Amino acid sequence: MSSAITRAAGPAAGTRDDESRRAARRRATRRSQLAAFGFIAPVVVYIAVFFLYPIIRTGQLSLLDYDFQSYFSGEAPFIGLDNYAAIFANPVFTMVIRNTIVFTLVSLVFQYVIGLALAVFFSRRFPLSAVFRGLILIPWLLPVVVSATTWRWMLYKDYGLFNTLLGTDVAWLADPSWSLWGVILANIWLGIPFNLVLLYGGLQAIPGTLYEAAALDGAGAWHRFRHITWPLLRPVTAVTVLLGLIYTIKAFDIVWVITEGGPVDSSQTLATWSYKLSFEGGTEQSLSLGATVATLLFLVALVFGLIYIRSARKEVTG
Amino acid sequence: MKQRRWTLAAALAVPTLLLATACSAGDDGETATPDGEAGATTLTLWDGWTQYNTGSSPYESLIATCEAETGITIERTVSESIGDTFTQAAGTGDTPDLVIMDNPNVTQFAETGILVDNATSGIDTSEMMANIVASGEYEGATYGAPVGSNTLALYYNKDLLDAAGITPPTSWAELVDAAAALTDPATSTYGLAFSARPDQEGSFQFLPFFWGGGAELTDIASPEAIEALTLWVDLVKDGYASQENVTLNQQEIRDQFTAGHAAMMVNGTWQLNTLDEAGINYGVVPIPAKDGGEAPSPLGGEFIIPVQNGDEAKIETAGTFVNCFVNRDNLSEWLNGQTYISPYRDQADEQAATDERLAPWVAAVAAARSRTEDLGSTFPTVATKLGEALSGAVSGQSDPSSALSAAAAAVQ
Repeated sequence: MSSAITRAAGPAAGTRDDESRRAARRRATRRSQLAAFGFIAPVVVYIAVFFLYPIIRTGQLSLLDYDFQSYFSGEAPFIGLDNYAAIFANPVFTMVIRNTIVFTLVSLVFQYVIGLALAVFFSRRFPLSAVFRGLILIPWLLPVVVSATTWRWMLYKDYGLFNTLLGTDVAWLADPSWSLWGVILANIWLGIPFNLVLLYGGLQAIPGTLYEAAALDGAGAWHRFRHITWPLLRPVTAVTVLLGLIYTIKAFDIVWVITEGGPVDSSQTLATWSYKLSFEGGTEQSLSLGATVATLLFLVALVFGLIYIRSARKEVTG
Repeated sequence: MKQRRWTLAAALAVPTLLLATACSAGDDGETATPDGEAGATTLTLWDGWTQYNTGSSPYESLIATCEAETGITIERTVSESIGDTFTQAAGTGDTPDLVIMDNPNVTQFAETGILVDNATSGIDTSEMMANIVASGEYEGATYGAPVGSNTLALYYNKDLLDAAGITPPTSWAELVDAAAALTDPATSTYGLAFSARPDQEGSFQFLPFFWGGGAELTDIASPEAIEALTLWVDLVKDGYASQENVTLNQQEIRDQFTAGHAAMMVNGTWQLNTLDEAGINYGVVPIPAKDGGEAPSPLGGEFIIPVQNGDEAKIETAGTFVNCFVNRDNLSEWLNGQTYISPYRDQADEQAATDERLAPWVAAVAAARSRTEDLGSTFPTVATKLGEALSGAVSGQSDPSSALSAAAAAVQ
């Protein structure tokens, strides 16, 4: 910007003018710098107010003793890392961690595999393919509360659709050994469109000539997928899986609407546990304990976020 | 040059404007000044009755009646989980002027000082039944006024019981026998339906069995308590009640009953009108105690309470509105619509005389126990732990004894 201004100021003419011209140029530079700050200010303010402040405040809350009484008095003493010790010592902690890992990994694997299969399927043009592709996006368009409530009904033990279709008698949501799987099932369905859209876009970017050349060389469908689609799709795969991971690990609404983390915490993940600790449990509720879990969740998501940024940067430079 | 100056001005102006609008938006939310003619007062009211958001419910017309009578304008906000919402709002200092909350939560909030007692607000509950007002008492002061009461009883499907040749049970043994005889897996009909959710709703439903077995809230892991929970667990284990009960709330339990999937159910007064609309042939009896007789039921119902905001004039206005709200004549349409029992003795008797459906309930409410009389402000915590314990036992996660011991240890 400053070079543009210098050029616009034109060549110097005469020594006496030099001094004032230099001063004018300095003023112009300063003004253009100000303008530059002005332009980035909205972004900086936005990030500070809506991202930085909540994160810092959550971290700060996790170091205080903010209990039910504190909501009303506003007083919460500093207790250091006691909340973290309490969370790690909580009998539910290991189960919540295990649930979160199972929920995230199983959801991701199935979302990706099914999403990829559908993307490959839809990359061939056939009558009504656009219509069907549009229909598959429906999970994305529906509010999660609506679809999750429907899933709840479908998973009911006594007259739910699932038991009727499968001929089983499983209490998908009421049996502690099944409830997490009931929620995972719904979440896989919810995540397929996201994977489909990204992977479909990735497939479109692979030049068709590669497939033609491979076909001429006698490569079958599997070899074309294995040696052309898969390697060329890898960057998109990385982005899809990493973003999916970040979305899934923090998934709240789908779990909360279907089971509220229950029965007896059997489908509790870090996100729902954080909410439960913060706002449920009568006078025992503690915003600090909730914030502690939220902070742990944030740290996990941050690590994967950084991996994502690094992989994205590598893609640009390399 | 001129153009550049304009760009600079624009670049600086945009964020400033954004900030300015952000601030002014915040101010509006804080003060919420009424923009009608001078003298008109606006009060904000929060309640949890999402089902009464139709524009024509008795609840909304009760508000309208008192708006007309007192000249106060009510801005109503509905939230399904009003207790949570209210707590969260208190954290940000954005509370309403009036709140309607479930009676067992009153002491918990009164303890924090967020509610205004009746001596300050001028609410008059002197003519109401003492056991009903008792739910709103904390350390000698009364907070707000009850808007009507309910309690639990045993509903039964007359057609199904007649077909099986069974009379309504009067003891636990009879209850189990009846449930067994009425269960029919072929039509997915269960003998008995109850809500065993891991929260206060579950423990509310459990209390008639808990008290009916001789247990007390001061010791939730007593042998009597374990026996009561074992009754529920065995009903589910033997297939006379659904395991799904751990996820169903009382409305969903009612739906099971009206759909013919449950021959008997534990439910409250407020379901009467819906059941009549569904056209189901039902009867109501008290929930039996263990060895026969009537089990004490928990007193349900809500209180309308002014919220502390430091503005004396506003609190007084809120008190005026509440006095209008719980006035006998104004209440009656709402009570009939909700099938709640009046907090006034004479009006309750009148309800029993004019609507025979309500007669057993009027007696039940008069004998019902306040949930907070033993424990005060710690009741919600105990109730939540008790709910988690019974949900864990009913779902098969743990046995009744260890579930209750864990809950008792957690509330110590």
